[in-house]
Amino acid sequence: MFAYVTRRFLTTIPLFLIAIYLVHVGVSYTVDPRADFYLCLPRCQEGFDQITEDYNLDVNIWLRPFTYFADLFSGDLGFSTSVGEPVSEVMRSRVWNTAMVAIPAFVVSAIFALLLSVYSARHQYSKGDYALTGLAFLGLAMPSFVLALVIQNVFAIQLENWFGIKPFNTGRKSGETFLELLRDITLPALSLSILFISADSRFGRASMLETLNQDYIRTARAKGLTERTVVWKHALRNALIPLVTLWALNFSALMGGSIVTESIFSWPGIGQVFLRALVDADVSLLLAIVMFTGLLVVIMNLIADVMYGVLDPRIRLD
Amino acid sequence: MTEPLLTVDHLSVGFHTKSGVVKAVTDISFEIHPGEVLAVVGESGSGKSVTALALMQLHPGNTEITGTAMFQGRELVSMGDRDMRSIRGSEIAMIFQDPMTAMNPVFTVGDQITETIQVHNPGTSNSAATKRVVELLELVGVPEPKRRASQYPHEYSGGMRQRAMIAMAIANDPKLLIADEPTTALDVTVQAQVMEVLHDVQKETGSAMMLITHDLGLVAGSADRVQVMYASRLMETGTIDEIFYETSNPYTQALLRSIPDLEGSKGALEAIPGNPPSLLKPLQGCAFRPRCQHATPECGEAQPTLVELGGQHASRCYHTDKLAPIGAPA
Amino acid sequence: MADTEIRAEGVEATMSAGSSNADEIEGLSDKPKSFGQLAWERFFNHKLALVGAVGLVLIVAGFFIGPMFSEFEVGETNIPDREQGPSWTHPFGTDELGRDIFVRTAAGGRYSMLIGLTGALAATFLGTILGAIAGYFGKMVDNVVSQLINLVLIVPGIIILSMFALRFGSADGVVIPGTEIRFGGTWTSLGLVLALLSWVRIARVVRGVILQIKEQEYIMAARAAGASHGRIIFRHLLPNVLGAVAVEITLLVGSIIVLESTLSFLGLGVKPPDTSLGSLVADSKGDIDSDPLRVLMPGIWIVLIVLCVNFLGDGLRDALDPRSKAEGSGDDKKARKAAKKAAKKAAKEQARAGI
Repeated sequence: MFAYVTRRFLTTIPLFLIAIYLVHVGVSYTVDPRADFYLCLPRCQEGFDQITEDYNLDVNIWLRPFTYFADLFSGDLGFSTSVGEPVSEVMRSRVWNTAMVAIPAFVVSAIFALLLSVYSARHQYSKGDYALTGLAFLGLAMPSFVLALVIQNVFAIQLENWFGIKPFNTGRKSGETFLELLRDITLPALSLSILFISADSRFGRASMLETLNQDYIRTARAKGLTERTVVWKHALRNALIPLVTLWALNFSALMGGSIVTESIFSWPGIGQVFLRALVDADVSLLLAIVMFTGLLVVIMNLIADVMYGVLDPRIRLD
Repeated sequence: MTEPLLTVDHLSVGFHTKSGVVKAVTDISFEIHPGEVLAVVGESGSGKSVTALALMQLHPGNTEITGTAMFQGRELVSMGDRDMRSIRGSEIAMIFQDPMTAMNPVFTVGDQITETIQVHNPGTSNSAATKRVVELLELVGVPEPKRRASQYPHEYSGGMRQRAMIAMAIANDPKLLIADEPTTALDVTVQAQVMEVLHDVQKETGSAMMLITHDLGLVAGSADRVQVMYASRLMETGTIDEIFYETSNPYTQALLRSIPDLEGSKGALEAIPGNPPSLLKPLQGCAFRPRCQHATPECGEAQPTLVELGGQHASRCYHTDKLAPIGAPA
Repeated sequence: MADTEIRAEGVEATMSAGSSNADEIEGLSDKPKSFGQLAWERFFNHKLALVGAVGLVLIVAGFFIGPMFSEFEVGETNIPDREQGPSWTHPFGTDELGRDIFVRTAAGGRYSMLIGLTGALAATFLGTILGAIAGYFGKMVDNVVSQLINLVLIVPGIIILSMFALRFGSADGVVIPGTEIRFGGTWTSLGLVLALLSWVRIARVVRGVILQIKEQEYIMAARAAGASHGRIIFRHLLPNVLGAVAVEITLLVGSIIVLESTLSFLGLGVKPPDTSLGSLVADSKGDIDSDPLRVLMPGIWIVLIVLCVNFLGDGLRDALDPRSKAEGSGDDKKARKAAKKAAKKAAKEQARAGI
């Protein structure tokens, strides 16, 4: 197992570096930090030169990534022009904010998806199954911004209009205490969860159905086990295997920061700041965000593979 | 004769499908006595497996079962879930066809056998159960039973897996063992070994066995009585000698004739011409008529009833007297 | 070992006994239907797919043909008439600049659907070719393509997409006179970028299917007969892949439409004067507190379009591979109910008979 993990790590690292390299080139090609300065030349020559030096813009675009890597190794992530703080600071606070919403959303969506999958599979073609399938279809067809706007509108604004209460605030991060924060994250987390529950439950239902059709389930019943044991012990263990892989990928997607949801709820996470960095041509921050999300994907993929091996003895890897 | 262990009376099983009702089993009645081996023989689709599954209520959801099955004074077809669960795996145990898929791949073999022990004997400690597991594995001839118990099914060979399934089935000393095509999925060389294990185990535990198979050759060495099914109906039943030496049913005769003869005394493979009938639209009259050499118009009017032929022998045919007994296959 | 010559005597006997009589072959199954026929049947039985198909037809008709009945242009402002509710002249009302909402929605809908389709086709094209090559040639080639796939997956799509969209968004391109179709500029570059990020799923599916059937005997037979690689891929492999890919394509169309709308909502997708359903929502976002329905309506259209497409995809999946829906179709439920009823009745009768 250890050998496998190390091997996988070693093969993925070069890939990761290549990805970052290409992204760096892409970003450099796309984003020009000196965009605002061209108009005021030669007046602002000094500022122009300063930026050129800061971002090594006089180095060939294909070689520039290496200067970036060099800086990285010395622990320097650069300075964020759009936020006005060192990139490392920005990342730290923003990642924490995103995590505040992403982790509860992940846990809730995983649990609900699991329960709904089992229910749907066991009661296939029942009214409940059809209803859940319909909802899942709806969730899959809904763009994240539509859902977020609807939730925000219904829970924040309409509730206030009709009942004069604002139980969840507007989903903005405004509180300090644990309870206040809990109130704040509810709407954005809800918005994110619904989307993932829809996708996961379809997948989980299919996986569960396939598992329930297997011979060993019939054997389990033939041994006199209760239906509950058959489903929750024998079937679930098997159906969970592909689902866990999906969850790992979901986690990386959630933690990557949902640009749309964070924008709508004005939540100060990675997604929101990414948008700003994009518009403001904040190269250092952009790169840091890309690297963070990329690393997350790589790690979660690795974890998914390992989990697969842990759960399925047939593919114990050594 | 001793009191029968299992009395099946007019059992019928139908599957409700989009295109209509598929009658998989039509009006079957039979008995199994304690300690005896009843072989149920027939082609695929004859209804033999369905009968067994129906007895244990392991059928899929869209099934309609009529008739009764009395097991030790209790009725199986209408039995409630909780009672049925207490019987499954302890009084009646089943061995399935494909050992590769019949065991859960994510649990060790030992765990799966322990499970069945502990479910029916609550309060059994883990160590006691493990000891029993090792005993059982040894009984069925799995080498290095202690090490093997903590292995997963995919680490076993096909024959060993089936032995483990047998071990799991006899774990709670069932009164009735149902073996559904236990060797069909195995290599020919392994088949004989597994049959031997099954035979030994059955003799040792004294349980009755319902051996379901399409292979008449398997039956010769192990069964006490044989029952032949075709197209959901019971065609003939009798002791093994009665069936092999004095068969009085054209279908059974054709089956016996079709067994390949390794020693080469026959010239050609005798297949039974034609195809089994559709179970969706059952034929009027005898089910075997389209393929039967001895068929007469009478056979197409009404289904023949089971004709008692003395001893334990009975055959469902209008022409039982016209059939010349054939010698047993070499 | 004896010869194993199978005697056909018995067969002749059965045949000559007046077998053309319907009674004789009673009980044998009907003549089997072709795969295509079965597929069509299953598709039409699938109620959702029909709903999806009808819905799409209606929406397409509404968005493509509808505006022809309206006298207004997409960008035509008419301040005095602004912010009116639905009426005969303005079926959806007008926005804050007096523009007819129906015409704008239709334009946005057309754009969204067209780019969904184009993007999906491009992604399918790219994905099928790469997946087929990877699956067919295996080993080294497969490795390279798989690593490429991993590469694409490492950096979350929307991030890369956003960056490129920002860049390419400012190009203009060439317009075909009299239509809204533009080559170059946002339209094709957006479609291209969407395709570049979505080809991966199709490639995986195609690769998987090809790996599976590559080893089957008829492929080896073709190779033994001297067929070239290209011929094998095109004549033998791809037709089989079609089934699996068809379903993926419909799902892809849906996801690309959603993706594009999200980008446009963020301002990174379509550029004025073009509109898409996403940008329509973004434009009117400010009014969400006062008139949420009007703001969200284009979004609702997106949901409806994608729902219809997904229903179609589900029907396709059912038609082409019914096994994938474990335990058959919903009619089983009727069958089970009937079985339960019959069993209850029989049990009652038996109880009465005193068993």
